[in-house]
Amino acid sequence: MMKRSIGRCALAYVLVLLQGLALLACTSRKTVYIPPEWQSPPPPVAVTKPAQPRAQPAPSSAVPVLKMAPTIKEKDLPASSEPPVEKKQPAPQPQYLASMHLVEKANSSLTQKKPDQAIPVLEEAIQVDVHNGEAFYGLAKAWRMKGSRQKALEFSKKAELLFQDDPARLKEVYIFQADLYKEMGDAANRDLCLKKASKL
Amino acid sequence: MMQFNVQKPVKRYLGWKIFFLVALVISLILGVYFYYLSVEIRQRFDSRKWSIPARVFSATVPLYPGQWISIQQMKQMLDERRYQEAVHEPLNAGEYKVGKGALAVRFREFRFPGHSLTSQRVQFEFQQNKLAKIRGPDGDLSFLELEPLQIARLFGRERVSRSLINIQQVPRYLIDGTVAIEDHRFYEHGGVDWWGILRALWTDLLARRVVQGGSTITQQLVKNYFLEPERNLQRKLLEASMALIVDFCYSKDEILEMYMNEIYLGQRGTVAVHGMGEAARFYFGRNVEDLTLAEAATLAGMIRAPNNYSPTTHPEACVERRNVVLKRMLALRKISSDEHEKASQEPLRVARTFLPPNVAPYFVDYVRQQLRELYAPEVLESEGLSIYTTLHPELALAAESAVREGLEELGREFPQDDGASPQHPLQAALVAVQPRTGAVLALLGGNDYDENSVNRVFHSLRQAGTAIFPFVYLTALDRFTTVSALFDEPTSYMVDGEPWSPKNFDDRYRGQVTLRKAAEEGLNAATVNVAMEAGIQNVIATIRSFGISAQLQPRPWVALGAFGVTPFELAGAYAALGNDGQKAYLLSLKEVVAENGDIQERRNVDFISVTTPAKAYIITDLLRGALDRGAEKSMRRTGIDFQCGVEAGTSMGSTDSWFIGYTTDLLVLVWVGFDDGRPTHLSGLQGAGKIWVKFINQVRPWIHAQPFRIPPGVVQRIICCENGLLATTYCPDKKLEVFLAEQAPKDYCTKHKRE
Repeated sequence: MMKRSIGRCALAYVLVLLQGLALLACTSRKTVYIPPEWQSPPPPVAVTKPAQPRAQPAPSSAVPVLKMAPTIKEKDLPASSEPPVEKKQPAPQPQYLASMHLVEKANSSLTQKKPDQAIPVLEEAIQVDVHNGEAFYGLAKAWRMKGSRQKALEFSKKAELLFQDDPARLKEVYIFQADLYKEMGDAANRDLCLKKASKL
Repeated sequence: MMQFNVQKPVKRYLGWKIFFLVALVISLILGVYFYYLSVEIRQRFDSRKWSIPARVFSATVPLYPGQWISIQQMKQMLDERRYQEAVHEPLNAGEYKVGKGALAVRFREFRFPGHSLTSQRVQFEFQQNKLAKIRGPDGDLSFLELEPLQIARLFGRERVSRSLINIQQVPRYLIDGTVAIEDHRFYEHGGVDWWGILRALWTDLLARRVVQGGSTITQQLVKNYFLEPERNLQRKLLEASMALIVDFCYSKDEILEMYMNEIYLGQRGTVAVHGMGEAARFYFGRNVEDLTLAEAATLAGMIRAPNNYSPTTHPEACVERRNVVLKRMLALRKISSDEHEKASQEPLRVARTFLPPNVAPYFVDYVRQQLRELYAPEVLESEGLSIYTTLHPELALAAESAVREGLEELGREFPQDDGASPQHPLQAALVAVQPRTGAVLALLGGNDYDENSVNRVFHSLRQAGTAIFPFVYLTALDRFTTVSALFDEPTSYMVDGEPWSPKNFDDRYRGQVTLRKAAEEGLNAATVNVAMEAGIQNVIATIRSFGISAQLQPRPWVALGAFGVTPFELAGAYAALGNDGQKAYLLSLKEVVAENGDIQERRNVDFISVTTPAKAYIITDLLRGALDRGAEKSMRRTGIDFQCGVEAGTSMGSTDSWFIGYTTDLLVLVWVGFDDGRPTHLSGLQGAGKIWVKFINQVRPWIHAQPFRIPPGVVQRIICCENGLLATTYCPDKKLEVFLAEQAPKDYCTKHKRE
């Protein structure tokens, strides 16, 4: 009886030994790091049309300088120091509405002081509508938050161009620029921006 | 006697004692070795199991009501993304259905590190080739992103395509089907199915050949992952031993997950398709969780012989095998007879894409080149990075067809019969950029990537020719207005003691012309005249500030673009004109995201002002005039009916033909020429212009041209055409002209009075 059990144990050891030898012979493949499972960010929520988006600015009105009945019209855009002329806003373009959808999404990130989240969304907003001053202004604010004043200034210049028919927003941009210049230690340009803002 | 009785057992068990001692030593050694092995196996399976080549994605495509997109175009975009057309309702994820004036689609979830788009059913409504409405599950949508297109995988030496999946994503059908057909006792055995092996041996003995394998799923995993594909007893032993250890160390779900990611499931050209995730996407255009019962059974059936049961190449064998799987599932009571009946009768539907095997190869090369500056090749080939780019897939495809068709037409209309060698056919390059973001939307570096992969957009220094004119006029705006008089005469300039005289393209000289006319007509003599007046050094400074890096000598011919530029540099320079004088960094690589979602690299829209918005506007206005009245007015007949600034460029000796045009949201540059610099005898309009028009007409739905807005600092005045002064009612010929505010005329015309 004991002999048989010893024999069985011996057989088991031999089997284990064989498996061990088999494993030894296994050639290993290249080992590389596998990161933990990727967690996707919360999916974007499909949002319906914004209720009342800001109307898209339109070209300013013609200011005739000659008393004639011209078939062609002159246009004197006010110099940046002069107040712009307000006019009735046309219906917003579809790409503007689409772009504003993104701007609103980005603005909530900006409110939470998360410029890194806002910047890609605002860049997409510009891609959808290159005339969306709000998107450029948002970018200017985001870059300022990140401490890149020069970038903020460039984007605010674009917003300035696109807000020519929106005095309230234009004034805001001038004040924003004045603050930027102040931070950059450029008193002359700061004063100029404040002067422009005061005329609006 | 007593002594004899005591000594006898000692002698009798001595051999066993020695045996036990040896066995004890061996078992100790084995115990240590097994511990070492289990650690080793765990390390390997718990670390990165597979090399995942980086994926390169295009940009998402923005969709919103009001876009000029037809049902056909929408359908094409979905087909490119491997969506299947369906007739039934409800739609499954990855399917669309076309109705009258509407297209319904159930989007798949797009789930890659850094970007995710939810699965949802959306209905697009169209009115006269216009996207009128987007109806989402919760109401109308003002904006929707169409998932990016995967445009490349950055393979290394191994061309294996794999999309890792999690066992939780895998539908029950797929698990049941795989287990049923490959190893139905998977959940019962310990890695090796001894009973299965005996049964297989018996069957093989009866048949006197190998008809049945006894490999379990665990053994198959071990075989595919660790071992060479040879078949012998030693390898079988190894396989079984390792399967036992793997089964001991890992749960069944973990083993199944590894198996489903590892398994080979066919070929896509030269690329091996591995894993259920990749196969589901490749064969059925679905995420693995969206597979139907029939599709899951098809994939499970393919495991045995992926190429013989391929749905694309052997559809009949594939259906037969699928039905075998379904039958087995029914026998094992994994599906009901109704489900079996329905799935068995389902036709095999495979997602097909009409995309070329290499989408935008020149663009991908450029992205790869940038990535090589950031990552070692083995990182790109193995760490599963997700790379997001600015490429607009529709524009990129249009670029390829416009260049191909355009060059064919040019070959017919202007045969190059000067003994042109077939090794150097006429080439073209195209760059499409969004000036206000600097996003490179399409890029084509030659007419055939497979023939010649040299990317002419970056590596071809070609004479700018007259395409440089706008920068000459921009320099001149400090001293000249659009109505200033220039002299278009054959003037001789002394250069290094030698006379040099610019010639007009048509050998005609117009005498005194306005700056506008010289710009719109592209008059060489007048342009050199204005450049000399403005100062060649100033012209060079302007060219440099716009990002052109060529070595420029202060010679008059700089004004005629007699220096080398790359199409990319020139596109960047023009983009600054289209962006109110702000030069945008041209972006192609947007974001690199690691597998765990960490953004490793992000490139943002970036500007730098290189001129004022007012000056940039005046130049744009001159370029618009070229299309309305000047050298390029014939293009208006080709469907270019929106505001657009254009410039055709021809180099000296007609070696290079350029055409650049931009709207408020798209700039397209086309170059045509020979690699060996032979003359093409094509003007900018005849050569590059033809391809430009073709491209623009193909991408009309994506152009949202708006009027160029007059910036502060620019004024419009009605002037007398004869003298450029403010017009009076008596002037017979008047026109509206733009001026920098400080240069606007203040005096009225006194020449024309009441008769």
